[in-house]
Amino acid sequence: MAEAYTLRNIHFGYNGKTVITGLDLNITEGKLTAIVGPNGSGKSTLLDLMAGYREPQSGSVELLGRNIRNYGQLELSRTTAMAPQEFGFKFPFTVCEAVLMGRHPHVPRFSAPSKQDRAHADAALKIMDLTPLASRSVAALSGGERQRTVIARTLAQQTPVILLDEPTSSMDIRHALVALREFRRLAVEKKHTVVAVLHDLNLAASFADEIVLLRNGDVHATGAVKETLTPDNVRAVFGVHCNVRWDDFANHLSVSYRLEP
Amino acid sequence: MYETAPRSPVRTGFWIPLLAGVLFCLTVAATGMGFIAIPSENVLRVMAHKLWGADVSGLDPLFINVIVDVRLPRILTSAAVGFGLAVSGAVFQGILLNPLADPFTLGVSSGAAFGASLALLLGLTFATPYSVCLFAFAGGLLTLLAVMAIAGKDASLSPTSLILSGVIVSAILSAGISFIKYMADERVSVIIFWLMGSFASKTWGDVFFTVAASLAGFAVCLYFARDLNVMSMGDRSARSLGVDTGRVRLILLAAATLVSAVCVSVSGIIGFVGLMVPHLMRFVTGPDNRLLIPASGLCGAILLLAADTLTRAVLPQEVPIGVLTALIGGPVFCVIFRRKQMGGERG
Repeated sequence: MAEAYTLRNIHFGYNGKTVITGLDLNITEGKLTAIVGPNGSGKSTLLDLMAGYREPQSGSVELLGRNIRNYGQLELSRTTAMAPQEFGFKFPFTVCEAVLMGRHPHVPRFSAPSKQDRAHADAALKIMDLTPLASRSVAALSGGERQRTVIARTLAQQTPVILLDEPTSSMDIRHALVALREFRRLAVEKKHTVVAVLHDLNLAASFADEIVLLRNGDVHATGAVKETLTPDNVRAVFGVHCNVRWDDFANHLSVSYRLEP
Repeated sequence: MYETAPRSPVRTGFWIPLLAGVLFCLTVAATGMGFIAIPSENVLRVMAHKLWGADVSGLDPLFINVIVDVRLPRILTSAAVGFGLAVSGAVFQGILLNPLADPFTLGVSSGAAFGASLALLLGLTFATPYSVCLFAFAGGLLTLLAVMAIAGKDASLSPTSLILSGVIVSAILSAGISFIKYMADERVSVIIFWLMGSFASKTWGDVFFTVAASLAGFAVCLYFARDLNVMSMGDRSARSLGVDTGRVRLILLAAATLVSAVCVSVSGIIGFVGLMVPHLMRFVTGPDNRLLIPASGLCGAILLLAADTLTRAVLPQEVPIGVLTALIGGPVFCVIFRRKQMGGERG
């Protein structure tokens, strides 16, 4: 399998604080990868580096075999889509308009969105159950609805690489599962690469093919879920004790934790 | 399909020609109003005469004089300033992600006022009639540079640090203005009068200056209007959608500041237009900057022209235009705002 991302010897910090120290990481194309780690371990920074939003102070980020610096802004936005945690919804755009903004990199400056653009936006609205809210103002949405709008926009962008920062943190269970199912479909059917920063280890276990465990700005362990999500790794990274077992009903590994041994 | 076309282009698009039509009619009507009333028909004939040399035989030459040399420069300047202030207000609100921002939030007005006060204090008006204007313009520009230097520590010029440094610089400049007023002794009335804004005795030079600046700034803002829409979703989202947020913000900031600095330097400080008009227009056209910016410009032109005509031709005595816009605009804005609050959120 080809690599979607190859990160080599990445160093990054800001305001005099080192966040990422000598990190090496490969992310496989067409797989779902979850990045997990405690607060301040550099998860979101890593995602920013992969989105090209920040530049590493040293080291290189290769996206689909090319240094990310050699991508033009437009080309990059047609290759990777990022669903950030921010909800910058100050102005009353409608849900539909916000989702249609996902087509921004594909629509020439002075053109109206094409039929195809609208079709992609409609499909994304439908997947995230937003069709009934399409003409609602984004300023009037609940947190979960906003998050669904951001995810729908990311889906409408139709990129081979998708980066997600806590994509389901405010969603109800059903919509979270729907979103995760859609990302799995994209990975399986279209060989899209999906990378998500997640807090919840159970969510990561249900979502991902591979897990990257981050600790203090470096990779502690990476690989298939079964190999990385072990009590030893979890204790080393999060400082909690856990029990990992296979859950037949949910059809994925399930983790339960406690503070004391 | 319904899902992707909730705001029909017919509903929103027709506002632009409608506003343009109203502006034209108002310009003609306003030109006819004044100490010497001139029928609209004659106003149109003189305009046609000036534009493509239409026949004006049988028309009182005094009319032509009054229209061309006295009224039109003032009317066109006020419309251009209204246009410029409203466009730059819409853009400032978009860049700063704050519906309560206006062209003066970053201290451009304080800078211009400081420059003008300085020119008036030093009595530089005898050198050239444009010295106050030049000083005001330079003051506005220097203020922007100062604000950006303070805010620009993070290269992408975040809205929060821009607003904060704008507030700081404004506060310092306000103190400077107070000091100048204190120093000015009997000249203080000239400074105060200038600060309150006026379109009296404008020339064709002012017209060309303001029209050129407003239209050039408008063109730049319209070019980036779509990026501004995407930027309202937040910086990370916009970057992910291919918008170079730092660059776009810098260009729009420079364009909007230049326009407002030109407006202030020509007419003094006229508040409320840049805040209220984009706000109002957002109710009718929606938040899409590609419509909002032109609609705001036209509405701003209409509003300021109407206000200036009111003080020039209707009221028994001229009221400073800046005072008038705030006096009328404030309460109207309050009513609209309250109604919107009571009516709840609307798309």
